Amino acid sequence: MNVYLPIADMSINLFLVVGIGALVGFLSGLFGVGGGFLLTPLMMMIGIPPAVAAASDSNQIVAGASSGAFAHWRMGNVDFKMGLTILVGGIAGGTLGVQVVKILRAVGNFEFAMKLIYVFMLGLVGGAMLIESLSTLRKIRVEVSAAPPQFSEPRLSRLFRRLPLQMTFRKSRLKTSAIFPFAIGFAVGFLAAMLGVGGGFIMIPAMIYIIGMPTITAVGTDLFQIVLTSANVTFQQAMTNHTVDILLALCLLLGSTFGAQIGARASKLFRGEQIRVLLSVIVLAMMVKLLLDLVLTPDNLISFAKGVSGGH
Amino acid sequence: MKTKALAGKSRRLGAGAVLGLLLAGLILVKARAGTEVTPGPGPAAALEALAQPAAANDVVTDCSKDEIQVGINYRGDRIEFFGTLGDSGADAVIVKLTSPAETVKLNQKGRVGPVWMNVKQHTVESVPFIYQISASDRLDQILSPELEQKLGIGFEALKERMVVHTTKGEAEPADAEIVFQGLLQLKQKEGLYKIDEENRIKIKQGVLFRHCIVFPAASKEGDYLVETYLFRQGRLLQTVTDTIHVQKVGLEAKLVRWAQERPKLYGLCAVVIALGAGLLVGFIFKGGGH
Repeated sequence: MNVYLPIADMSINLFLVVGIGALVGFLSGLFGVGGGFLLTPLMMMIGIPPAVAAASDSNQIVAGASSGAFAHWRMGNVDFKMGLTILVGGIAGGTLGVQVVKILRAVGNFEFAMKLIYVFMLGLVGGAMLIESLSTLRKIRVEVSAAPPQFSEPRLSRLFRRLPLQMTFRKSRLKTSAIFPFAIGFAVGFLAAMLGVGGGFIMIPAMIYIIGMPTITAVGTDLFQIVLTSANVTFQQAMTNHTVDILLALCLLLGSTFGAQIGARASKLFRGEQIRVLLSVIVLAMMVKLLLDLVLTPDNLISFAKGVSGGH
Repeated sequence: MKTKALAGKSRRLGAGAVLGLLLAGLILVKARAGTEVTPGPGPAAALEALAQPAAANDVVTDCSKDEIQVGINYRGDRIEFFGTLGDSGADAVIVKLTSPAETVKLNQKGRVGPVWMNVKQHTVESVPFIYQISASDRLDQILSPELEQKLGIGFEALKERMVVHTTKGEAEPADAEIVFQGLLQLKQKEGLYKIDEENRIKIKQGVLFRHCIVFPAASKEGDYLVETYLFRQGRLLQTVTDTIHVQKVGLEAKLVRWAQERPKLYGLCAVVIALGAGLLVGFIFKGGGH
């Protein structure tokens, strides 16, 4: 059964799209991560133009994160003051990112830039996760078990207390400069526009190990900012680049919803470190695939500008 | 009314049994004779034309439908195309499906250090969205290269018509060939450009031919031309042109239009629908969705 995606401008097997949504949903349920950083590259692999893949993933993330954000808000896990500080950065970063996407598309190198950033991000995150989880598996006691080892928390906290724009975040029970939350929000917003990711894999470690927020508040606040940052990116992409495919986003949502249910159940069968080794291997495999795309001689040097056939 | 007209026509053409069978499958009936290239008359006028006694030497072509609707479940389409040679004495047929020439923008990759990135941009003029050719024989058996050029038949003729302008990066003489071959590869992969060497058009009893035009899943709105060229011993006898209209319809068409014309509204809707769908799904699974 095929479905014609109006914005991607291609006919695609419905089960393939829903299946990819389900696969990523399963992984996100299993690992407890958003999965946007896997979804965009997978979309590109089945032939969705990169810009449409990224923008539609942002749209899907709005849907995917909204119920979680709502649940955490009801449970009182959202630090709104921190969330809004990050969000100001996220809106600015996302809006700038969409404009950068537009410029890169015009000069024909959006796909290249996107893949390059992906290779760095996935390499960094996957590598850090692999090293950390392997050492945990080898029973070497690591103080901060979920953090890449290079983050040294107390030194950064002391630095932030000396920066201007000090604010009190009552929910997170801390007093710190607004500069870092704004900056990390800006960076993640920018990545959301470029890559079609939610950015939880950067934001949560940053909140816990750099800002020093309690874990549960970090998760709730992250979901809150993801919904609004991705909503802004979706809106900006639709306005500036016309690349949001609602139908594609809904197909992905359908798949990921069911996938996540199964994934969450499957996660109880494994130990945390085992799961993280598996996730890091998947992330690194994706990184290698994208790296090969960049360095191997392409079978066709010519491609349609803006990634849409027929010269729209 | 329709049946009567068709039966009458079949008798006149002298290949009644075969043609009657073919015509029975018609959804929309339309026929045009001679070399006129005017937009098709309405179904009523077409029926009238069919009812008129055809001149003895008329070449008649027709297709199973003259409109393709691209909707949400579109995955390509097929159109049965057929015609009679009358007593034109033609011994070869070429059917060409094209769309109006347009200008496309292409990127060209080049090696920069260890990686490949787009280093050049070209604008190519006279590129039809679709270009498909079927014939009753090998093209070089039917007509001379000169005639191919003149009529725009074959990839060589297509290449001759294209004009490449390099808009970014250094223009090199070799680029034209790289660009054409790359474009050809892109179009062939999507099934848009095709010279069908396997399924030849068969001329039955010297007067009737049929051909199945395959529209790939990649689509673009507009009027597509089906040009039928009749040859006799390498000479062009006659050209007949039919038009097929491709149109996006339904939700598909609406979404595309909204996305282009009301981007703010579209973006807002995308966000609201996603929020609504996400929350709904969350409630169904009691917040376990994420």
